[in-house]
Amino acid sequence: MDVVTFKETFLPMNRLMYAEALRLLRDSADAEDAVQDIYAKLWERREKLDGIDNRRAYAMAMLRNRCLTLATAQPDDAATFDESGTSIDTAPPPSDGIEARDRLRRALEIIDGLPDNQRRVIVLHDIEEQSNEEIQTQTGLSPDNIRQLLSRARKAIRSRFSK
Amino acid sequence: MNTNIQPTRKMKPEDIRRIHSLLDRYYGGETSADENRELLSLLDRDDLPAELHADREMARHLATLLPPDDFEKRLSEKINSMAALSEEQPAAHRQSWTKVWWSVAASVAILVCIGIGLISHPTKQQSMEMTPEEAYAHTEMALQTFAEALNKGYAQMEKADKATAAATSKAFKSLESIGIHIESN
Repeated sequence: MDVVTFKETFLPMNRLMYAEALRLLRDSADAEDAVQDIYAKLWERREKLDGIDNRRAYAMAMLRNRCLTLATAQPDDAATFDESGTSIDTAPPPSDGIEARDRLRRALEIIDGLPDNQRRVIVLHDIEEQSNEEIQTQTGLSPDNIRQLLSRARKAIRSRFSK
Repeated sequence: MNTNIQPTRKMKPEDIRRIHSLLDRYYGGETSADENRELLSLLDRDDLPAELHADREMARHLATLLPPDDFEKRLSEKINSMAALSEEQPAAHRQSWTKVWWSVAASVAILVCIGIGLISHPTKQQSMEMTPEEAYAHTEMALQTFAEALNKGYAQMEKADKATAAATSKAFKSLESIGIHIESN
């Protein structure tokens, strides 16, 4: 697999991978590292990827394994993990870092609490930024259904911030 | 970004109208990605009226789920550098058919083991919420890892075989040089 095909195959799914890593690791820096690690591993295995039927599912399975390993290895401070040689700051996060983490935790909690269909559509649309046509292909939902589910999901999330 | 800061100046009525118009479409599931970005930018302003602060909080929370803007660019650069590095290294050797068949045999054996394991020990990793495609990919990945390990073992065996053959050949030549002939089978 050459570099062009590799990029065409895996680069478009970076947002999906990041969202999944974030869901499992609950830390943006760790999620970035995990996704970058998987791209490196996929590149190492590029010659063998031609025989893989569903490369997208394969990459996601690799990512999940990686995240679960990281989460199990260092549950309290997964951010200190480093395999690529890049130094990672292990000092306590500044106050805005704590605020960002709290926001992230709450956002994940709210998204996780949505009904399955609503969660799937809002993740595909707002996080992965897929077009309605792409969501239609993936889910089999009609454009009207997609719009309705997106609307309900956004309203449900908004209701959590009402005073 | 402190949400408790009181606006020092008032937002223009047309900007407020624009926000309301975008919010109506946003909650109706009708905004485009560009409109969402415009909305987030308007909601992030210091002069945002208090009645829209809850919408801003929602938008800011959802924004934490997105990767950094330059994430894809950085990944692309990383791939480029890995590609450049691998061009300098020799290509991987091709697998022999023997190795392939041994890998297939090992894979079948592993599949049988996995099947028996699944039947006798139902999975406890329900939190994984894998789709059938991902479960298949997991199995495929496990088999590939096993096959890679097996191939490494065979590579070592081949190396040992070659070393033995070379030593034997050398020994035969030495014996021949002193007039002793041994028939090899």
